[in-house]
Amino acid sequence: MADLSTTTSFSTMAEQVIYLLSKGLPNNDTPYRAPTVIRWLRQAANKIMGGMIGQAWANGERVVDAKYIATFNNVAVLVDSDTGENYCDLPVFGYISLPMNAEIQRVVPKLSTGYGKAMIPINNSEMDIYGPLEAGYLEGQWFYFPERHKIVFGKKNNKTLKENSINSVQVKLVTLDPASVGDDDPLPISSDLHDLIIKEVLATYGAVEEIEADQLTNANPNKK
Amino acid sequence: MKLDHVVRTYKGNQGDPTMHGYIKILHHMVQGLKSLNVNMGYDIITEKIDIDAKKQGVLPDDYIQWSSVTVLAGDRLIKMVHDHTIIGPEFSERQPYSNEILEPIIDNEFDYLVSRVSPDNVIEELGSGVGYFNIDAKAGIIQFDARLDLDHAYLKYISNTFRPNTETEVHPFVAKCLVEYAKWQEKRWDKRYGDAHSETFASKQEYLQMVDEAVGNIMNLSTELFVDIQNRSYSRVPIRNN
Repeated sequence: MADLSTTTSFSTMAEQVIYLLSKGLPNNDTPYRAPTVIRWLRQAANKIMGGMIGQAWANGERVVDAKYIATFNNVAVLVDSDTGENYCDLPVFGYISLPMNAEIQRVVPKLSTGYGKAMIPINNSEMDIYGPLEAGYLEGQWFYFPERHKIVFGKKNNKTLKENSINSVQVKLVTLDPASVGDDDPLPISSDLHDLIIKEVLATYGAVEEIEADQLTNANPNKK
Repeated sequence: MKLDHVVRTYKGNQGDPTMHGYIKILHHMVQGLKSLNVNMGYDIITEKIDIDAKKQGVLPDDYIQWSSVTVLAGDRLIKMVHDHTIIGPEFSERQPYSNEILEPIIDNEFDYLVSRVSPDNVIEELGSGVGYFNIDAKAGIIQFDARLDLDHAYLKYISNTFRPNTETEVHPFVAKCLVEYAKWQEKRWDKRYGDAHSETFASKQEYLQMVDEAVGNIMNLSTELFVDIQNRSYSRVPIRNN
């Protein structure tokens, strides 16, 4: 198990938050419950991380820190009964939102010989534009487009993934969702962000730093 | 190198580790390939033509001129005979005898065979008993002999252009031009860049310079070329009387 003296976890941070909110050791009557605080911490972490990655993206940086990328293997390929399209459900819902749907970092088909080439990401309806053009041929390549909480796959040489005996894919997502990080797992976030996450939650609870009132008023020299 | 690799080269140059935006860059590069007139070269393509109940087939969209129509007989491809007297029900009009470049080959064979065999069976000799066809390019139809009993044939034809795609091979010097072209087009069209006109123009100049370098590197320089240039550039030069 990782040494939590050098790293932390959501559970550990929740203890810190509850300690601060309770102004000491919490008793049984404390209104602050660990699961609720952990939920706030996760949301705060996603907010801070999303803001940080989004800012880097706006500055032209395209490489997302590897700590924030989760890999999901053997995601099942399903068939839409109405359209016959092949698709898969996104493994988690709590992913960071990035331009060009870049939160879905990579999707590769699982072949009998291992994982194949990365599929080409297309934006939704983009094939309406490029499909009739030469660029839309994408000879010999798989492509996909995300739609809500699923990834829809295009055809290669007029055949779907299933028709090519491909039944699962590997998906890499930019996420801190519970499915990828447990409450007690070492938190895969830079340690310089831990303090920010805790303070974000404290601000949410309205626990601002109190100014200690001066007990002795010595402004009026006549007051005794 | 393949056009797919050129796109990846561009993304690699940008330091972009994912495939997002691939198709847009590919689109720019295809346009760049066309702007270099690389697609003006003719291409010879053989395509399988399905024959329907009316003994007709549909010509490909990029058809310019046929070279041969053949059928698979066992392990051999045997040529069919072009007979311009065949008219299909949907022919636009009676087609004039237009295949003057390629037909002389058949005409020569015809003459040869006429000199060798009797005129009565020369057509059968020439066609090897396989069949006859005619082409209406305007209607986009190839009409086969009504006696033909086949469901497909192979048309070898001259195509007007090739369809560049991710597997299209390009010269490495052309690839460099395409990378510069894509960079220029991104600046032109991507609203997020917000570059000044001068910067976009500078990108264009870089692309044109790369084109000049590519042309200079690809062109084979030879003595004959210089002589040819000299001959083409001949003009009257007034004699000065000093």
